[in-house]
Amino acid sequence: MKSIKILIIFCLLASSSLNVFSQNENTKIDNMTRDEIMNLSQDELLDMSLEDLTLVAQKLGVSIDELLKMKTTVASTSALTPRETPGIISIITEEEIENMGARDLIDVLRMVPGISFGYDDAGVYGIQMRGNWGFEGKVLMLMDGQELNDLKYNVYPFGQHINIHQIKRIEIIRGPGSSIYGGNAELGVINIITKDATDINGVSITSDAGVNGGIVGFSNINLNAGKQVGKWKVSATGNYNRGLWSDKNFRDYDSSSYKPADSSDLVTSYNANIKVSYAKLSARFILDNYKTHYLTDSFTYGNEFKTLLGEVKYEFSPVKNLTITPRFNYRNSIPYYAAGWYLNNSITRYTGNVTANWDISKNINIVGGVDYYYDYAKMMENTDSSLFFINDTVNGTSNVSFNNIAVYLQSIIKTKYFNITIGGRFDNNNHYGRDFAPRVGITGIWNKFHAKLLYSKAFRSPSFGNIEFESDIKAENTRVLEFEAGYKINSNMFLTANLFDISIKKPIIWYDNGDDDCGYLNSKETGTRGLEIEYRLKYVWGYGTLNYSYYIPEPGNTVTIYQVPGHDNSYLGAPNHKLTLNTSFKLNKIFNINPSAIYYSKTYGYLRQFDVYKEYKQSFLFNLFLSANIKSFEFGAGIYDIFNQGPAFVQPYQGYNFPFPSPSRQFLIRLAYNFKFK
Amino acid sequence: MIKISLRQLLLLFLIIFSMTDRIKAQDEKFKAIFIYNFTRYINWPVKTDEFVVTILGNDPIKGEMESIAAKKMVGNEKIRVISINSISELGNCQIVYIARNKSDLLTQVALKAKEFNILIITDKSNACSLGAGINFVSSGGKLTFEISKQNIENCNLQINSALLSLGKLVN
Repeated sequence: MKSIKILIIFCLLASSSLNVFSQNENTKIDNMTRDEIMNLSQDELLDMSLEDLTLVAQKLGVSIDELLKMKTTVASTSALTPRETPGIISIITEEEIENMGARDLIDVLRMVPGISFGYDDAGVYGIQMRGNWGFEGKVLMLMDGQELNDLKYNVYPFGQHINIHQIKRIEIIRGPGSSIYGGNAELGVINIITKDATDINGVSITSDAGVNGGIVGFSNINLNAGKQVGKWKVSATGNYNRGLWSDKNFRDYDSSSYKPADSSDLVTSYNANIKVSYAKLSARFILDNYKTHYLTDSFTYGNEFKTLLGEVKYEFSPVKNLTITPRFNYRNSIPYYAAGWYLNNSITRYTGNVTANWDISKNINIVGGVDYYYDYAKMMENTDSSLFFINDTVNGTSNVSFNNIAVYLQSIIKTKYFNITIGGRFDNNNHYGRDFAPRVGITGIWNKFHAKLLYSKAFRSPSFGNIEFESDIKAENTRVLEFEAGYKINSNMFLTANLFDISIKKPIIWYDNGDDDCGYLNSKETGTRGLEIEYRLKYVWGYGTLNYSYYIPEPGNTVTIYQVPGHDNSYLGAPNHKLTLNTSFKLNKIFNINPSAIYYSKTYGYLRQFDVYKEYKQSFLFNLFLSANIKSFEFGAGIYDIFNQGPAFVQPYQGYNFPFPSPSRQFLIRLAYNFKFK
Repeated sequence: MIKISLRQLLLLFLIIFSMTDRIKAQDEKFKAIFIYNFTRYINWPVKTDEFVVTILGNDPIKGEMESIAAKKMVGNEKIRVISINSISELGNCQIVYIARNKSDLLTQVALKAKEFNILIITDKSNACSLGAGINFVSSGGKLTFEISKQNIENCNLQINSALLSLGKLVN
């Protein structure tokens, strides 16, 4: 009751100061954003000429074109709009991320068609893409173009990891991306683009907290700073996040029951991202640390993922219409680290890359490049048990290295009626051999209507972690067929639907028969097929997105650890149907109210200890977030999972783990201060 | 443990929604400023002591116009804003703005406008074809205006060609 009173007082105080003014002098109409225009005073508008006033009034317009004309590079290297780009893509803007009251990336990505989450093991959550378990090396996570997946198992752990307040935009390929990105982009690519110096132009600090079940479920703090001076741009972001997975009872693999809330600091993460650029020369460094704990009745152990990334790149144009970008990347990854644990590995990758982007003519564009990387992996602890190549004749080595060279090429040919994309990437790895990932796409925009027909092959290259157990393990090969049709209903509404068919050959799966008989092997085939539909609208008063996703397993699936006996139309831990609604309403200059909802159909989990399958009923998450902007301050308050249905995170294969509970109904609060340089 | 009842939640929403401005308030602000700017591009045949803007009907634009009138003049003339609800109250003025709830009176106002040299400004689709001189058009938040040179000149008003190039010409 006390918190409600505080919120009411805050609302009444806020309503007494409704005017928010821009501090800008010397404003140029062309460069003004819609928010800046909305904040112009009557006096400033009266001082404008009628010509300028007419332009300003035009810029007040809000339409779906803001999204449809946004250039993205995630699926084609050349900047293309979502309707042109040869991939099924989603874009999530900063406005949507902030308004939905998202606590972390799980909350954001759950709203995307085809994406859901499951529990792997040892306190780590992973991503599912279109019904397929994408945890190890199948979905590529990028931050500003740099790869975040660890170098041992190619996993990316989700859950209170990336702080959302540093994000400008997320671009997602909801399909294969190996023809550009290589071996970890088999089922999808998620590129998190952070705010740069011109976006920040000042300093901002944001803090969130959530309370559920009488405990502080999570808290975090994020700092962004950035400034452009002449050709120099400098930006820096740092954040710290901590929280508990849940306040509910959890059953571990020994069947013991306990509450995660009884322990503290189950998840902590910190991240720093610094970029310095001078004209076309840029350097970026990212430090990422994520620590999760895994509790059992008998012991506790932590898993820490330490990542250090560095990139230096330079863009130049020796001739008109040709841009060449040489790039050097450094990546050090220490995954699943526990102090003193004999299996601690440190893996470093050095990558050199040159990409050329050439507009041969108005209608033909070619992008091509060469990519070389060298991986070096070593055991970190002084131990006699050296574990690389356990089951191989090369037994007992404490370090190992691989190298990989790749060549890629893509051409986009624009004709009068449609665009043709032809491309591919060829990789040659000195250990697991060669792979080729071609892509062919036909895309067309005809006034309000657009269509895409896409055929791609992709692969998932075996990781050190896979090879450690089985040195002869082969890469997975995937064939994906996609069709998308879209219709711009009017200037404020847009509808798309797509079909997909994913077939994964030689999928790399984990097996565990007990008594230390475990490891990785190539199974025969798996995959899914299905449908996704999305409807978006955007008006001055707000926006809304409604989407529906559906999948069924590929008929030829041979991976029994994914199957649900008696339910051939489902995989473990992956609901067949998902429906999401994300809306935002501008109440006035200060307040936005943002309801969102997610529906999951029932799913199944395998309780190994009892050798039974359990049905988990359908769930409906309803969330509400109220945000307010007053001068340099932002406030937010909301409730996540109002009806307290929070679906558990089910393990999407026959492993040893019970589902991990999600937090109960959570009350959220957010405070932010933004200082802008003049 | 923090508990929240449905009643408390509803009370909170009532308070927040009671503070909502109409989104259209942004439109009204811009329309009023446009109206003020139009006076720089149109000449009235007769000069008076004050420049009168009449608002016919209920519209929040009245408040915006009064705010402008408090600080601006048209040439050397102070701006006076009056509000009326029927055509019989329409007297000498330079501009009449017809609110949406009185848009059915447009053709009658057009007859008076010719007689008294009044510029008619409206906010209704196709109003220029019914006698309006300038009609605001709002679509997806974008605000533009249509302009009928013929209707304006029929009221003995002189129009600067620069204004014609900024709006959408309607015959």
